[in-house]
Amino acid sequence: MKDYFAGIMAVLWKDVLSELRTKDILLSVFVFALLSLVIFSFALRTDRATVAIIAPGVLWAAFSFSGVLALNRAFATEREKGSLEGLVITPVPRDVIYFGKMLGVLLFMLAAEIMLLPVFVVLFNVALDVPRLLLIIFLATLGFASVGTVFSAIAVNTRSREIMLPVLFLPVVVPVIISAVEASARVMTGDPWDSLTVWLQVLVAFDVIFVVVSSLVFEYVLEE
Amino acid sequence: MTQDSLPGRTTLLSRVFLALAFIGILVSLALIFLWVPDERQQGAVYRIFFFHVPAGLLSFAAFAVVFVASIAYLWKNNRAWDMVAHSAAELGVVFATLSLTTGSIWARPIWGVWWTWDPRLTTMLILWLIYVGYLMLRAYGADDTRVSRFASVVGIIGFVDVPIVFFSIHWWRTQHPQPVLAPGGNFGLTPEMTVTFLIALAALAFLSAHLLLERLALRRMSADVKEIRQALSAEEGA
Amino acid sequence: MNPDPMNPLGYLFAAFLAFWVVFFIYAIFMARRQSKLRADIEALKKEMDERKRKA
Repeated sequence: MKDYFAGIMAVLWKDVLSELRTKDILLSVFVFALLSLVIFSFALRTDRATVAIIAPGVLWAAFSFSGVLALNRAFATEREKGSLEGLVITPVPRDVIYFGKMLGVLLFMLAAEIMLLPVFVVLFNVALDVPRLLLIIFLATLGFASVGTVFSAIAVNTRSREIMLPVLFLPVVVPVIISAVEASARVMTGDPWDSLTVWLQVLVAFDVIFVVVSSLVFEYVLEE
Repeated sequence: MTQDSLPGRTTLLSRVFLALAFIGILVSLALIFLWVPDERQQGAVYRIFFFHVPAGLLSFAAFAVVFVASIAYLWKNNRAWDMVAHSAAELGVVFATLSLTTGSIWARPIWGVWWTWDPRLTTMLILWLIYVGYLMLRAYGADDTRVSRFASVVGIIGFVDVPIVFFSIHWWRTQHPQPVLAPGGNFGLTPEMTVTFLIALAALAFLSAHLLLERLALRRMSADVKEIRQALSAEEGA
Repeated sequence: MNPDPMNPLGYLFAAFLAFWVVFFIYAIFMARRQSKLRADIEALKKEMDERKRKA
């Protein structure tokens, strides 16, 4: 059991170190999400009344698209350096690699999203119950990371990888996006906790189901 | 599933299915246009229901086949299962397309819009997107064995997602009620309609079984031809 | 909801038509695959005959 966690931490730590050096994923997610927020503001022609209505949707559209960017980078370094094969040969159980990679992606996406929140609050003038929104962001991003890690590993091995990832990823995470938007909207309008629960349940269900399923199928993606 | 035991029997079975489908469709069309009464609220336009709903159901059944075949392939590593999965995915997308187009055309005269975010129709749209992605992966993937494994993973994840997608869209719709309900929403089914529906469903089911077997046979032949070619060119090289 | 100039039965026809058009597109796709396969098999047969003659 200890070895298991040690393995996960090893994979995770390698990615964290690499990311701290390059700040690759962090920067691309943050900048792209910021750009999305700005473009959406212009595109949706908002005035003070409508801004409150579209704000949660805009936030999660930005997070979804920048999430794709983050996932694209998840296995990019392995591919460039050819160390994907090295990872495969390592005598660790496959789900250790899955959890290590997935936690790394989760961490970086969360970091970028949290950095973006103040910007969002300023641009869209929202009053915010931060703890509740953070919970939603965590659950939804975990959902993204759970299947995203698998699809990223697949896409990196295909010919048109930039298009394959969003094509595979976005339809599957539609429930996550819907739930995140609905829950965030209620947090932003200060609705009672009860109105949130069904959406949180969907997010939790998605996370549990797909962390389990992804960890089971991941080994088949790594196989030569 | 062995390679050589199937061909003769498959062709016979496939032809039987085609014959049954043909008869069934003729009978269904006769029933749909000559026997079944008009629907109370929708008049005559609703009659596409008898092909629209079976198309949706069969598409879902096809994706279930993809799910099972994908698991079987990852487990047994038998290429035949992979061919079943690929063929079923194609069929599923075809029927999903049929369901979406007939659903949209039906919605227009009844509700005045080309699309309603009805949970069933919208789930079908997401399914369509997921399995089009599956087919794209097959087309743009890497070399053979890896793509089969990747596609199997997508086939599994995609199908597991279906109930969650449906549920989340259903709840989303209750929060944002559309001004219209979808086709098939408020609908009174008379006994004649039920009988006709079942016959049409059976006919289309036979048709899809036939198409699946044919597509599978095509796929197998194609693989054989490729193997023979490779063997021949290897001989040449030697 | 805008008033629809087209007769509702026109939509019924369009729906059935769409159904069969999509179906036939798939059927034609399969038929073309089949002819291509036949051509491939013929080519292979010819090649094997030539080899027999040479050997």
